Amino acid sequence: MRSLVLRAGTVAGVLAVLALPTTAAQAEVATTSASVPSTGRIVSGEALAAAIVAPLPRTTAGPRVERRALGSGTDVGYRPVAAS
Amino acid sequence: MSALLVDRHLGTSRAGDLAVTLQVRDEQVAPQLLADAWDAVHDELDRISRAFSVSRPDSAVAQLRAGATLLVDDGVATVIDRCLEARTLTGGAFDPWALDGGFDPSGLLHGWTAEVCADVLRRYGLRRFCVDVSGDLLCRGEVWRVAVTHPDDALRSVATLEACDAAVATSRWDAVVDPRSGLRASGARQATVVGPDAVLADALATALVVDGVEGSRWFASLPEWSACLVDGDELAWWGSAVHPAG
Repeated sequence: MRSLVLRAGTVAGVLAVLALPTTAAQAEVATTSASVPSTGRIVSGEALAAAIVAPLPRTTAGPRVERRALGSGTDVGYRPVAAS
Repeated sequence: MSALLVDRHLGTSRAGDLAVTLQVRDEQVAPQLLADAWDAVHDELDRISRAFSVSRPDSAVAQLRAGATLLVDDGVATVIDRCLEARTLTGGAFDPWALDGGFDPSGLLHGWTAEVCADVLRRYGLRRFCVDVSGDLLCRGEVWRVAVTHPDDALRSVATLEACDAAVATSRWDAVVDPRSGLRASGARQATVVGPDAVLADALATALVVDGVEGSRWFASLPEWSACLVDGDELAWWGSAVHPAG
């Protein structure tokens, strides 16, 4: 697979690379200037489509769920403006 | 989808499929500052529409869907990351990759737009406001009370939410496709979530409509979040921000 994802920028906050299957190669690209951070990221549509094969995590029990009959609810206290 | 109790309406702006309404409660704000902030919000809406629209061939997302390789800005890169995060968190119930035509981040774009608009307002010194993007809300600066409307009657409320520096997002079954089956979502008729992150709120509301109450397990790692669902003729909820009506 050819190099799919490159990353650009000099700021740590923009260096996070799109999580992709391990076959997706990554490489640095030259930044424009040390004092003027470039932002953004080079993304391949092919690599983006391949992200669908990323594994899904196992899930755990969540919070306690409360339930009751839906009923008819209460008045929200407003009326819609008549359409002209 | 949600009824907002408000006292100052700044206006509504539209760009593409996005409709944004701003409510501002800051006091003694110069009218010109509000006008400038409003113009800046509209500029951001145009930028978001140009970058993310799947129907505009020149948008970054449309080009990526077509298989192009391109340098995307931080906004697009962040949205891609957030899509991956939400897909992983929900076990695939939210999956922008499973839609016809390929990657489509629309499922969390309302939340993203709300966050971008809120950043604009903060840059203009505003602190007490609510951004409403097509019914998904981002509330800042004070407690905002939000009514969750009945799925069968928009003038009736099934619950009230308290949102303080929080986002509120609602999805309904008729607007969501189950990414695993390709059919209309059937987990819940309606789902509303409240939490600190508008982008994730948007995705979680969509995913809860797909998986219904079973999706509560995703919230094991999100203790600060609340949610309420209409599941058949039942109201189900969790978290301290939800107050069932009546």
